[in-house]
Amino acid sequence: MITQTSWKDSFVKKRLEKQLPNEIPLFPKRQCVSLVIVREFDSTAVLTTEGQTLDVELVRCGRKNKDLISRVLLQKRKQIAPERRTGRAFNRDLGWGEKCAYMEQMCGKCPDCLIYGFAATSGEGAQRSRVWTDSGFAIRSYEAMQRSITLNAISDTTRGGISGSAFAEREHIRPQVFFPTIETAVDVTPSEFMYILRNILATTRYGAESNRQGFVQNHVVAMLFSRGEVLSNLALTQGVYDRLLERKGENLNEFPLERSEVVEAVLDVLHEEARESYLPVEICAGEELQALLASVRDLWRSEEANEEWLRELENDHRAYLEKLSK
Amino acid sequence: MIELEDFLFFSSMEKGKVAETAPLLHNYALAYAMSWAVSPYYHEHQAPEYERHLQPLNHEGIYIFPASPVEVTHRLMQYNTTPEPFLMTRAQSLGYPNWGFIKCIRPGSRFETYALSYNPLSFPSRIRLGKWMSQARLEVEEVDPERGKGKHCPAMINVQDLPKIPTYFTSMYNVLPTRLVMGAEWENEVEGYWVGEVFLPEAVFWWR
Repeated sequence: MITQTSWKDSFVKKRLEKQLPNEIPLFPKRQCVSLVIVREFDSTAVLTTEGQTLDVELVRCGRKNKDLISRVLLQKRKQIAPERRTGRAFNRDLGWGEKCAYMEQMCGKCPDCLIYGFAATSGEGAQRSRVWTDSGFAIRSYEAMQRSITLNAISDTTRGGISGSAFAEREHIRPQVFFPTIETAVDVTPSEFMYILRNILATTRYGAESNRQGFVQNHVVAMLFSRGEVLSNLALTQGVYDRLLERKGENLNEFPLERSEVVEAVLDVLHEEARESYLPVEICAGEELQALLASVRDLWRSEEANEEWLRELENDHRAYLEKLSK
Repeated sequence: MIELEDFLFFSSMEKGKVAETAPLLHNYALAYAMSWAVSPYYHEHQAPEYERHLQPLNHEGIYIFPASPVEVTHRLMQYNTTPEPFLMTRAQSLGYPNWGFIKCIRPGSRFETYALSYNPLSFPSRIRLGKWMSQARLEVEEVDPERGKGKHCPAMINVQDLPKIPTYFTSMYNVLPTRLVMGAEWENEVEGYWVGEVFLPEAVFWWR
C-alpha cells in the first residue's frame, strides 16, 4: 500500500495547530507544549562539572517521603547543549546558518538562534529562548548508581612508570539510570516544534567524553498542552520516587529500575498534577501519542513531506525576521 | 513564599573567574517573572527599559517588594564551553567567558516577599527566574495590610522605589539594576503598611 505523506495533512501538524500559534509572536503568549522525556542511559556516563566527582545534590526523596537523599544531576545545560548541536549539524547539512558559530558569532537567523535564543557576541541584538528546561534529577540515590572507574593510559614503550603515563580515577554513573525530564516549547509554531522534537529524538550522547560513552535513549512518554507549566523535573522525580517506593519498598535501591515501571509512575504523576492544576491541562499519551509519533516517523522518512516541513520552517522564520525589521 | 526547584543563577558580583548570585530576588525581576511586566522575545538593543515596562503597573496600583532570603544555601560549579569544529584550536579570546565558576543558589532554597494591589491579583503557580530560567514554586497567602506609619522595615526594599530614603540600614546589596537594602530605619516615621508585625514603606516602581 502506498500512502501519500504530507506535512500539511499530517496527524502531528493537526494536533499541534490546535495549541500552537501559526506565526511567531513578538511578545510572549505562553502557549506551551511540554515534552515529557524519560532519559535512559545505556552506557556509563560522566556527568560532572568538577572533573572527578559526579554532580550530586542533596534533596528530599519524594513529596510524601521527606527523607534526604543525594541525587545525581543532569544539568540543564548538559541536556540542551548536545541537542542544539544536533540541530546545528542538521542546519549545516541543509546549508542554513553556515556562518553561525558558537563562541564567535551567532548569525541570529538560523532556526537554532531563533528557537533556542542567542546573545550577540558582536554588535547588538538578542533573542530569548523559547525552550524551557530544568536540571534533571535521577530517581534513586547516588550510592546506588555510582561507580569509580580507573583510567590507566600506559605508554607504548617497554619502560614503565615514567612520566607521561596517566593514572586517574573518575566517577561514572552505571548504565540503566533514568532521568525524568520535561522540555517546554513556548510560543513556537508547529514547524518549529518539529525542529525541537527532531533534536531530542536524534541526540544520543550526553555528558563528558561523549564520543566514547554517555549513550542515551530519549523516550517521549507524554506531551502536555497548557497555558503554563505543570510541574518541574524535581517535582516529577520526587513523585516517581514516592510511587516506586510504594510498589517496591526498600528493594528500590538494590536493582536497576525497569523502564516500563518508570514510565507508568511518570504518567501517574502527570495525571495527578493535571487534576490539581488550576489551568486546564491536556495530556497526550498512550495510543494518541503513539499515533502522533508514528506520523512523525512517516514524515521524516518521506523526502517530499520533509522538504515541505522545512519550507514552512523557513517561511515562519522569514516572516518573523520581517516583522522584527519593521 | 518562593521555593526554588532548580539551581538559580544571576550575576551579582564577578570576582575574577567566579560569578556570584546574591541571596535575594530583585523586585523588577519578579514583576517580569510573574508576567505582570512583559518584555519582547527579541531585543534589538541590549538596554533595559524598566521604566517603560513597569510604569503601567503603577497605574494599576500593583507593586511587589524584592524577596528576602528565608533559607538560602549556595553551591559553586564550574562551566566550560567548547566550540563546534572537529579541530579544536585555541584562538584569541573574544572577551566572552567560556570557562569559569558560578556560585549559584541551590534548589530547595526559599524566599519571601510581599505584593501590594488595590484589586485582587492573580499569581502563576510556577515562575522562572534568573539567567538559566530556573523553575520556582509559589505559595501565596492573601493578607489585608493596614495603612500606617513606621520607622523600621525588616524586609528587603528597593531604594529606587522609595519616596523617602532610609537613614540607616543593616545590609546593602549593590546589585544591578538598583541597590537593595535590608533592615532599613528612618529618622522620622514614614507612610506605609502593616502586615502583622512587619512594616512595609510606601513604594512605587521606579520612583526616582
